[in-house]
Amino acid sequence: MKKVLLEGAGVAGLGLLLALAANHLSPRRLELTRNYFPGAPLAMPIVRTNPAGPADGSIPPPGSTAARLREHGLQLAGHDQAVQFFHDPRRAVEEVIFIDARDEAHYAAGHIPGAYAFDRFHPENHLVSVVPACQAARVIVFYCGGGDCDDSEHAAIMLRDSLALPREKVFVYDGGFNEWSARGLPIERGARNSGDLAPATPPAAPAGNEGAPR
Amino acid sequence: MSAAAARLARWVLGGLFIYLGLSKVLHGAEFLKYVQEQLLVRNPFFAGGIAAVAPWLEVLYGAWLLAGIARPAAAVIGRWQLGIVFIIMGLHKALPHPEAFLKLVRQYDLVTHPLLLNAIGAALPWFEVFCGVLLLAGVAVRGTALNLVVMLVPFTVVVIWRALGIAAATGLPFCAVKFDCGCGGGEVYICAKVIENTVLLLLSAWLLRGAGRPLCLRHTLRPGQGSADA
Repeated sequence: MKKVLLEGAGVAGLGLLLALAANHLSPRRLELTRNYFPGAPLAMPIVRTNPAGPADGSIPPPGSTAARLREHGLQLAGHDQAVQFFHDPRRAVEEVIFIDARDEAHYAAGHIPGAYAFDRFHPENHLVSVVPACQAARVIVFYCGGGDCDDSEHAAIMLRDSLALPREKVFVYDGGFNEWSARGLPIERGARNSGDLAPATPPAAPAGNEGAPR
Repeated sequence: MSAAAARLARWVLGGLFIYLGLSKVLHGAEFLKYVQEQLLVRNPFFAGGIAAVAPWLEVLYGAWLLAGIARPAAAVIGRWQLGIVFIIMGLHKALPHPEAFLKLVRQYDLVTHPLLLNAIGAALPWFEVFCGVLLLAGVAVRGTALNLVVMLVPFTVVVIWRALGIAAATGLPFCAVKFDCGCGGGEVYICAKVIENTVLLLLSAWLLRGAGRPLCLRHTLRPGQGSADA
């Protein structure tokens, strides 16, 4: 039994060393020293309920998305407000910008038109474009997939704190891209401003919905 | 472990293999989707072939275990299966989005220190691949099996604990809870996951006892250990 324990310890030790080496060599490696979840620890909701909190503007209940965002100095943008920002004329001059915090594959498959890509796990790929845009903008709306996704929150905290952005211009669109596309709002495929615009088709809607609104 | 307990474990393992195989046969479309989306077999011909054949191989293997014939050969097949499962599960976590696995580990809320969390997210998937390769090649089999037991027991406990939390929050029956546990196979029903982990645990325990020695490159790193192909 002692020999088995020793062999197990040897396998564990060598395995961990090789595993860390494999991670280091991987092009998609995780940086051990980077804090991927900045700010205070965010309690992950098992199931999101009442995401926006009470409608009357009172203090949201503990555990709601609104309460968590408020705790971290972020403002919640509900769906209507996100649509309002999208149609805001200031978006044309980039005073209102959207930032997509999902990974590059999801971004390329479809994103809110004009949104900047910002995969927070690989920020080095996006900082050149995102930093000046954030500094120039008056309203920055972060979003990810919606639901249990909290990448938008972490991306917002990361950029807000590292760029010393005023809190009042940072919003998180809680419904995210899933809600956006499910409601048939326009989406853009490929790169930013690729011109490949199309309305998303809601799951229940019949196929062949033609005509991009913009 | 007594011979009676070993026999009972073998019967349980055989029964669970038959159950898993038949459940995949009964839910063929779901298993085909799993093969295409989680195992990333995009070719329809190969995906269809795997989805059609693999469940029956599981049933056959379960019957083989129940019959109790040619146990050393069955143990070798079990070792290879375990190795392949851990290689697939590890690669699924490590590539192409290790950050997705990192987020899933964080959801358990057991580790909060960034360095420790990152170390788990970075090392665990590749460690599983490493263990899988050792089992396939037949190197340090008992030591590797010991590591798998040490990983599988607490992992199964925390997965059950999280599923209980989801069941309590949603009001769903326990076995109706379906979520991505970070185990490397996407979203799964918790009861199916527990059965799968039980199978992996029993296979690991079997190897830990010394089974699966044939066709090993170097079953034991240091010579002088006995085997028990029970």
